[in-house]
Amino acid sequence: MQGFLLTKENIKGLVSELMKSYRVVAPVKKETRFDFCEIEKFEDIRMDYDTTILPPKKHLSPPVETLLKFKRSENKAEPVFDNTPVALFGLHPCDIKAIRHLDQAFSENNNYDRHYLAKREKSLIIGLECQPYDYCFCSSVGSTFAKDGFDIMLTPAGDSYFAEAGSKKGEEILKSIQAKPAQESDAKKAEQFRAEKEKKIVRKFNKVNASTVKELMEKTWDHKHWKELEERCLACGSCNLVCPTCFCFDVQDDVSLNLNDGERKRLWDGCMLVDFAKVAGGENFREHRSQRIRHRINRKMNYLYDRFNSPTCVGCGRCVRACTVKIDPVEIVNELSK
Amino acid sequence: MKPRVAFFDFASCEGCQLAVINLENELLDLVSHIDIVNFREAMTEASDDYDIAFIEGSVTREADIPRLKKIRENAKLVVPIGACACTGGVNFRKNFYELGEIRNYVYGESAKYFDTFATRPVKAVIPVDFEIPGCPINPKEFLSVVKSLLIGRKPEIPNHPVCVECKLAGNVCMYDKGEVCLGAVTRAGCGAWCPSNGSGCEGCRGLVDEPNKNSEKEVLTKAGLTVEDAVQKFRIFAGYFEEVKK
Ligand code: SF4
Ligand code: SF4
Ligand code: SF4
Ligand code: SF4
Ligand code: SF4
Repeated sequence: MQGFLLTKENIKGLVSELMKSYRVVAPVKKETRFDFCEIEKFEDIRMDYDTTILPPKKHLSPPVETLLKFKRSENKAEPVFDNTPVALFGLHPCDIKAIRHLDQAFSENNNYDRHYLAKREKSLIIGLECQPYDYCFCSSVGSTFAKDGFDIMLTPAGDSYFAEAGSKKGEEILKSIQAKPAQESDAKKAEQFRAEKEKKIVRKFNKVNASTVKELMEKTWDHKHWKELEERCLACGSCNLVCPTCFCFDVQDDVSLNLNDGERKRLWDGCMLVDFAKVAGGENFREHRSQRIRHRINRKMNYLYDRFNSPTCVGCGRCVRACTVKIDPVEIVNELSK
Repeated sequence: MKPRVAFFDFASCEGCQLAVINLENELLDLVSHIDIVNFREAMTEASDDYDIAFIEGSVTREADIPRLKKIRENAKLVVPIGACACTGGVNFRKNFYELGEIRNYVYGESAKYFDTFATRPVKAVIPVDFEIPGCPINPKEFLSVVKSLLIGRKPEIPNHPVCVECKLAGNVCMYDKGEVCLGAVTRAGCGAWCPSNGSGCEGCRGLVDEPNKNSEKEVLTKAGLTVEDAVQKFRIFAGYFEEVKK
């Protein structure tokens, strides 16, 4: 598809165009960090953000989401769908890949999660090529660059941005803002930016890569390192809750004070929490923290590999950033492969 | 018939009862489902005929014991509310000192008139049915417990730490701001009240099951607290827990 060159002014035009028909969500400053929030004006956007507290997922599958409303007296329930069109602006390649994983998880095998898909079908993804920061390690899990999964992808090219459309919708939008077609030299600058980025990624798996990490995990089930992590981990669940590819949830019913009208909600859940693998009768399949970490890392590097044809960790580094004891998938993998 | 509900207070600041009174609008809805027969903070009459007893405050005197036993005999359900009643709360701190010494420190000359003993939570004296932790309790959680009791369902108090609610709220972690927080080992249910309002969790809802206290202590000392300060921090609210007593 044809490339365009967007000046900063064009980007501003793009955002105001989007704001006409979408709720625009973009990285904004939040105290000492950044987060994906709905913006009121272009100036709120921080194109230079490193990573966000929560992944953009929170706007497609919110932390707390009403699934249905019911009346106890009538034994009746009405599903609730929120399909307000949302434009997710400024997603880095890792987060774009993560959303592809969610799309698959919420629709494969004819299991359609209509609450997620209602929002997703009306959504738009505008990617933004990034610079590695202190915690990420995308090159080890094959998510450094996004080839698809976006409607528009922006890559810095000098003072402007090289823009590619990844969908019909994206192309129409780029045409509608009358962006200039890019020159060969602009494409080169974008290419150079990406090459520079790749060079700056320093956190890496030492001995395995995106395709072989799976085998390593299978060989290290009884490794002593899992026990060592038991001592450190607080089982706080933060690593799950900030992860763009964690999609487990808990379902709770809430009745109002008239004891008749109620809502069924789902809330993000996490496999590091003690009750996660507890079943009726009190049996807990993953009683120890070491078992839970081993599960989480295997879930990201091994278990779902065949289904997604890739690790399901996208190397965004949010889990390490959020962990107060800095438990780190890269350190774990490197320790296991020593 | 509407269930008859009574409130009682022991050694406390009455902040938990106030939290209930502050429900205002919901309180009016609530009283259409229950009869409040005993509530010193809000009414003068009192009755011995009730189904659910909410108890605020910790047990600090010999005389509290027969009073509690009486409540247990009268009520179908006994539900301690607040840190004081559930785990001894801040009052439990005195147990880390010699009793006579601390009594003199607090009451001075008149110490001899106050016959207090080591602080204990309600469950150390009588069996209890549920507990609503927190200092003060979360009024929303109180309501949801009452609703559960009314529809005959077991009330649910979360078994995960405050970090979960903090993350759902999208907060910047206190450690990212150079502050300390006990959220990772403290039972959720407050909606991460403190971090959402800019201060670290003090652990008022008590520890989660199986807290990794040693690792959390290390987190606190790495963030700049001395070991002694870290220990004291745990003792503000969690002194009753075996993990902290040790
Ligand atoms: S790995 Fe870190 S963030 Fe995850 S549960 Fe353990 S302590 Fe919490
Ligand atoms: S496991 Fe950690 S690094 Fe990997 S995708 Fe999840 S949050 Fe990002
Ligand atoms: S738990 Fe806190 S608010 Fe409630 S009575 Fe005790 S000191 Fe007061
Ligand atoms: S601020 Fe406290 S409760 Fe929130 S994530 Fe950090 S440690 Fe957990
Ligand atoms: S954040 Fe901690 S101290 Fe604050 S209300 Fe919740 S449990 Fe209590």
